[in-house]
Formats: sequence, structure tokens, C-alpha cells
Amino acid sequence: MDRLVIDHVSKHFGKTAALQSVSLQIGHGLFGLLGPNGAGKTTFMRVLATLLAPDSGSMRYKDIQWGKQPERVRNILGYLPQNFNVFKNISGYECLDYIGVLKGLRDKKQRRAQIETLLERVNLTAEAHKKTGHYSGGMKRRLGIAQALLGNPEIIIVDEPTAGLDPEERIRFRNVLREVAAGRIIVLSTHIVEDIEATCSSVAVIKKGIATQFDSLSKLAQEAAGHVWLWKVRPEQAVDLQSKVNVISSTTTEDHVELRVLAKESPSREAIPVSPTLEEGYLIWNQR
Amino acid sequence: MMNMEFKQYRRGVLIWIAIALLTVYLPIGYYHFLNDLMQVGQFLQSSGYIGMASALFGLFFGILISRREQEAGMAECLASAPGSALRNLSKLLAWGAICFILMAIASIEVMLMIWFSGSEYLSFAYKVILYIFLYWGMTLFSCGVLGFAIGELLGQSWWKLPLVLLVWFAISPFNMLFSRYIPVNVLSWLNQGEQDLGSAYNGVEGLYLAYSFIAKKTAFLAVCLTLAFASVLIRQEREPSLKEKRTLAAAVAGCLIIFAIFVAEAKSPLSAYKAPLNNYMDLYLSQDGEYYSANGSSKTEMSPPAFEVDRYDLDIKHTLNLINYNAQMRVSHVAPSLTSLRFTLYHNLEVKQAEVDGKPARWKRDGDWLYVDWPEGKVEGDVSFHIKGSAGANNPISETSFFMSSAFPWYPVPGTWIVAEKFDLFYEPQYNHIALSKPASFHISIHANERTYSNLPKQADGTFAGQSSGATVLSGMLMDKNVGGYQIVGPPDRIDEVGSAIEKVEQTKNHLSSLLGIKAPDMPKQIMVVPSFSFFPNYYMQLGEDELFVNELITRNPYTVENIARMESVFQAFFWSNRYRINDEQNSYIFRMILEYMESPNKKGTTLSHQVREIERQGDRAPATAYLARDILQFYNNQGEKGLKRLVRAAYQLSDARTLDFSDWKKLMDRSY
Repeated sequence: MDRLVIDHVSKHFGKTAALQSVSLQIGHGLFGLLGPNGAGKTTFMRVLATLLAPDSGSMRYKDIQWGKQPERVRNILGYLPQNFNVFKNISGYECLDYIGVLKGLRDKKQRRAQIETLLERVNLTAEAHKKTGHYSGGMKRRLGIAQALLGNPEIIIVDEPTAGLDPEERIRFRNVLREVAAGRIIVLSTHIVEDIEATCSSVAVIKKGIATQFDSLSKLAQEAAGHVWLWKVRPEQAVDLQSKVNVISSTTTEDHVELRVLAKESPSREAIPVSPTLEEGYLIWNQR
Repeated sequence: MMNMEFKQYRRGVLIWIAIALLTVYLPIGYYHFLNDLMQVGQFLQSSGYIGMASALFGLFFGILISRREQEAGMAECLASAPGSALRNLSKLLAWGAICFILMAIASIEVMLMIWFSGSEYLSFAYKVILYIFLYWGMTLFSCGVLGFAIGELLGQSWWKLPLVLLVWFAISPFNMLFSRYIPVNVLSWLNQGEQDLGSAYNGVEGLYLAYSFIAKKTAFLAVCLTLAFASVLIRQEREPSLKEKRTLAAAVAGCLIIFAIFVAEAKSPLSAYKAPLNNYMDLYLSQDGEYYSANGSSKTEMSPPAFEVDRYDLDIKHTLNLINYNAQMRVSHVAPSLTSLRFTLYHNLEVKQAEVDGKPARWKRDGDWLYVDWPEGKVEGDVSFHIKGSAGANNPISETSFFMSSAFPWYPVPGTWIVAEKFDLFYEPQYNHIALSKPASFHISIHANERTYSNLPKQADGTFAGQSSGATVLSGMLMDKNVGGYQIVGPPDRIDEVGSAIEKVEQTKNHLSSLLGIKAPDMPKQIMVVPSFSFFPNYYMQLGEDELFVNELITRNPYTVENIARMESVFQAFFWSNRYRINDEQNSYIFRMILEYMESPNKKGTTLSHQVREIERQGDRAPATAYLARDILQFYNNQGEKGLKRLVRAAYQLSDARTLDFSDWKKLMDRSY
């Protein structure tokens, strides 16, 4: 299976190192790039999308080299940037038609057919000829993924796609991503662990420009193995503990509160070790 | 890609505002111009504000074009698409197409107005359209490209606005306000509109569509494109690949080469001057005034030729404000003792080379005089000169027109004559009528961009040949028409008025002929409207060898054309400056003063009455002419109009033989008592 190989890619802006020797190997399917704000996710996505040239390192997919053949890269690439928006005075269909032309879909009939299929896939057929100025944030994001899919690219780069979406739209968007992931590489960058959990099969975590790859989500979760404790306490005790221990989440039942606590050692005799979630693995990794 | 660009224009408000403003402004402006009796040429020239508006619109449009995707949040997504490299090119092409459409609308509208008003400018449609595209369209396009570069380079910075306003001002005709800090020729080059928005339209020169102006516009466009390509190279949404860098660098280099080629061609000889010397006529007048103040009056030694020229072959090329020509002359009847042939040739026409019978000959210039060595004893032969230069204020050569009169030594005229004199009485030098003493055979071929006319019979376009004692060539935005049996050459929309005034000129001429008691020269059948530097009646008309020249200035207003038929104007043209006279500016003034007085129903408003009032105003310091005017007025009061007529006739007949002085006038008046 062809993999996207990223080999020691670095990028600096002045003295600031945005990416430091990032090496990843990404196979088909949805690949998540998780990291806090300012970690270097968007820089990495922009490097992948050929908008920025790395200072050093290389990237390749099949026989295509990023540094040497950016035009070829763009031909196999779909990109949904973080702040995707569209001219307000054009319709969704016109937007896709324009980008289709830029992607080299010269045959008008073929282009139309592809646009119609994509609009249906992202559930925008009914709104296709409405001006995008009337679209909601979620609709615009779906239009964004449709434009990224134009030309049937082998690699799709999606930067923070669910930020600012309401839960319903977020779920709908994740579903779209899952549907289109088959047979291609999708790199999804986000700071929302839930997005990765819901869609990705493998993940990399990035912090201060340094990325670490995990073959599976469970491996990242395992980073927190032995550090997550379930502690049942009384509601009034729970309030006290919030400031004393690292509470990740809490569930309130009729007479008590279940706290998930992140700690190297058991915070109490009542606390029992539990298997960590992805978010907990990420938090532990992030705190290192 | 272009489709999307057009959609953006179509669905935006700005382009519709531009179209609406242009469409409304043109007819309103034209309506006012028609009301003010102004003609199409003046209307276009005075519409320089449209050029300025184009520049401002262009700059703002350019910024909007460059920032459109960024503002919409679409730039990054588009930049990652393979066809993105062509986006900027398609933007420029679409902008070009929009400019074309706007200019096509303007052209159609202006042409329709010209057609509705029945103007003869319809025959010059291509020039009108070229003017619109060059002055308004190219400014709009270039400024759009420049605005694009500014938008790319400055991004969201607020500095864009002051910079745009500064650029707008710098490329406007008002940029001369910076002339204290920036060289005038740089400002002149930057100015993308008319040299002087307030100047009156010169009908002979026509619309300023000279090659140097076209070169200037091209060079400016090349600069704007250079900046646009460079800005894309520097501030592209994505880091350009090596191929893109090379392509953009090649585009920058290509534009710079185009700039370098055209900037050298873009230099108008007027670029080094600012108002009031920003038109050729004022420049030449100033140069001639200075020259003849210093040199003219010192030339007292004159001699008629001791040889004849039988044939002139003139091969003329008009470039910028110069003529460059070879003059080949067949000389005969040379006095055997002569060792040098003496000619008169206006001093700014430089002799580059001289030959006698095909062999290089020595020559010498002395102001307006030219001497060439001649083998002693030789009675006939060929003399040729290569000459280059301009012919001064009386025969102005501009970048789009030229006029050289049969009564002026723009080619070597045998003998040494005084070309012009500068007197205190007049600001302008007084040019003398200099023609060949005997007709010669002329063969003239002219290489010029505009259609050329001559007093000589036309052989083909730009070729004239015939027998005459002087040759006239006239070129400019002119046309010819037969009106009442006269073949009139003049600017469009002015010929008919000249034609009707000419009939009255003939009547006045006949009247003057009987008044002065001499036979008047024949009325030429060729009338040419020619450029002039003076609004004074002594310059309303000039008589050439076979043609009559009418001052273009007087034809600018249809009501003032009739003034050419006034007695003083006709007297000057047909009875005074129709032959070589020197050192006699005073008498023509006195004659005209009397004739004006006789003709005018408002005697108090005449020059004569005005002169008399000078005595009351200045007392002893009043000029001598004022005292003479007082005497003439007294004479008129005693003798009436009949007496005045007798005085004029007697004085004129006496002046034919010699130059009159004030005592002659007094004696004549005393004798008439």
C-alpha cells in the first residue's frame, strides 16, 4: 500500500521553529493530527498542501516528491483550509465549478457530473444554486470538503474542519469524512480529540513543532495507562477535589459523583485504576 | 477562471457605478460643451478628468482584485489547486477585458454624440477612439495593474490608502505641483493625462496621439506589470516553485525590457518644460523672442541673390518636433565672381551636410544666413543640404503637426534676408515675408504620420510638385473641403465658417483696393487654416505665394472667424505683409489703427481712441504713437471720413516706396488741410 512519507520536515519562521524534524508515515484512511493551538498543525498542513516549502526534510507519495514536483502534488491533493470561506456572491455550484476548473477538470460535462455527485454526497444538492452568503457554517464546511474532493484526489488535507460547528453539523461532517476516506489518505488536523476518536484509525500528536506518531488510537490512549483512576465520591467532596487533583471528567449519579482522575499514583484508596481513553492518553502526552 | 472574474465584476456594485458615472458624465459634459460652442477635440482634451477618474478607479479596482480571495477567505484553498498559477494572469486579462468594455461603451457614446451633432470628427473616428482607449482606457488598465501590485504588496495595511492617493496625484496632470522637488521631465513622464488640462485645443495639432505619448503609456504599463509580477513573486499565497519563480522572474525581466525600450522613446521634447511653456507654440515663441531680441536687429546687411534656384527637390521626414530633410537645388545664373552662395535659412534648421555637384562643400552659418562655398566662375550646378531642426513660432512643428509657409525660409532661399525682427511695440517677433524672387520648380516628398497638404499640386499622398515662388507644407489633424469655390484645408468643424468668412474677406479686399488706390493681389483659391501664436488682427491672415493662411486661433469660435474680414486684418494680409518689408512695424500699426477707427461703429472703443487716452493717463511719458493718434483724431474731426481716406491712400502709396516716419504722417495731414 502506498504511504505518504514525511521525513524530517522542519520549518522556521524567523527564529521560531514551527516544525522540528517531523517524520510520519501515513497510510490510507483517516489520519489524525492532534495538537493544541499553536502546536504547528496548520503549518504542517500548509506544508503538506504545498503552500509552504519546508526548510529541510522531504515528503513523498508513490514517486511524487513534494520539493521537486509541487505541480504533481497539487494534482493528487484536496485541501480544506482552517478558515475556508467562499465569495458570498456565488452559489455552491459555481464555487465547485470554479475550483474544478482550477483542478484541471476541463470537460464541462464531466465536471458537472462530478459536482452533482459531490453535492449529493455532502447533502447540499438542494442548496446548490443558492448564494453561499446564505450558507450556514456547517454548509460551508461541507462545501469545503466537496471542493477538496473535486478531481478525486488521492490525498485530502483537512485542517480543523469542525471548529465552531454545532454538534449536529459536527457529526454530519464526520460522517462525510468517514464516507470519503475509503481508498485515499485523509489527514485531519484538529485539537478536538473527539473528532479523531470518531473518525481516525491512526494519529500523530504534535506539540511545539515536534510530532509523534501512533499506529493506532489505542496506543495513544495507552500513554495514560496506569495514570487514570475512577473515584466515586460524594457530591460535596467532588467540589473540594476539583482543585486538589487532576480531574479529567466527572459523571453524576443519584447519590455520588464518579471522577476520572489523572495521576501517576492512586489519589485514594477508593480510587480504582481504569483503562484510559484517547483524550486521557493525549493529555498525558501533552503534559510531558 | 475568466468566467469567475467576470462574475465578480458583474455581481459587484463598483463596476456598475463606473459604467453609470461614465455614461452619464459624457452626455452631460458634451451638452455643456456644445452650449459653450466648443468642439469635439476641445471636449475630449478637457475631459482629462475622466482620465484622472480612470486612474483612481483603476487603483482601487486593482486593490480589490488582488485582495478579493483573501477577503473572502478563499485564497488558501485556491492556492493549493494546480491551476492557481494562472489565476493572477486571468485576473489581469479579465481586468483588461473590463477596461475594454468600458472604453467601448465610452467610444460608442462619444461617437454617437458626434454623429448626432453632425460633427466632421466622424471622419476622424479612429483617432477619437484611439484617444479614448489611450488616455482613459490605458490609464484605467495600467492603474488597475498598479493597484493590484499595491494590494499584493501591502496586504491589509492601511498604508494602501495614502499610497494610492499619492500615486494618483503623481500620475495626474496636476503633479507639476511637485516640480520644486522632482525634475519636470520625470513629472511629465509620470503624468498619464494631458500635459495641461486647462489649455485650449489646437485644431491643427489635433488630439495629442504622438508616438512619444503612446511610448510613454506603454512604458508606464510595463512598469505597472513589472510591479504586479514582482508582487506576485514576493507575496504569493503559496511559496512559488522554482518553475513559477523562473516564469515570474522572466515576466518581470520582459516587462523591464519593454519599459527600457519604450521609456527611451517616451521622451517628448516638451517634457523638460512646465507651464507656460508646455506647448510648442509658446516654447518657440519664447525661443524666437529671445533670439531676435539679441540678434535680429543687428542684421542690417542684406543682399538680393546673385544667382537663381531653378529647382528644389525636398525629401522631408517629420519626427517628433523636427523635420529632417534633404534639399537638392539646381542653381543657375550664378555671377561669375561669386565664391560663395548666400542663402537665408531659419537659424534653428541646422545644416548637417552640404555638397556642391555631389562633392562635400564647406558651409558657414551666421544666424539665419547660410553661406556655401562655390567654385569661382561656375555659372550653374547642383547644391544639396542635409538639414534638421525646427522652424520656430511662425512655422511651428509639433509632434503631430507641422506648418511651413511659402513665405518663410524653411528651405534655403537665395539671398540674405532678415527673417524676423523684435520691436518694443509687440511682444511677438515680427516675421518678414520671404519668398523666391523668381518661381522655381518644386518637388516635395513628405514622410509624416498625418495627411499633408501643400500649395503645390498633389502628385500622390505626401508628394507634391509644381512651379511656385514658395512652397507650403501643412500637416495635422486636418481635412479639406471645397466651400464656395475655395479649397479650404482646416480642422474638422471649422471649414464651413472659414468658407463663409472668406467671401467677406474678398469684399473687404476689393473695398480696400479702391480705398488705397492700388490693385490688390488676387484672392488665392487655396485657403489653409494654420497654427498661430497671436490673437492680434495683424496675424488673423497671412498671404502665401499661392494660398491664404487663416489663423487657427481665430477659428476656434465660430463667431470670431468673421473677424478675419475686418479691414485691419485684410489690410495686413493683402496690402502689408504680403511682401518683404523690414524695420516697419510702426506703420502697419498706424494703418490698422486708422482702418479700425474708420470701420468701427464704436469709435471710443478703438485702438486710436485708446492711444489718445494714453496722453491723459501718462502725460509726457505717453508713447509717440499716442501723439500721432491725437493728431489723426483731430484730422478726422476736421476733415471727416473722406479726409481720413485720402490720408490713408496717400500714406500707403508713399510707404510703398520707403518707410514712413511720424513726420511724414504729419506732413501728409498738413498737406491735406
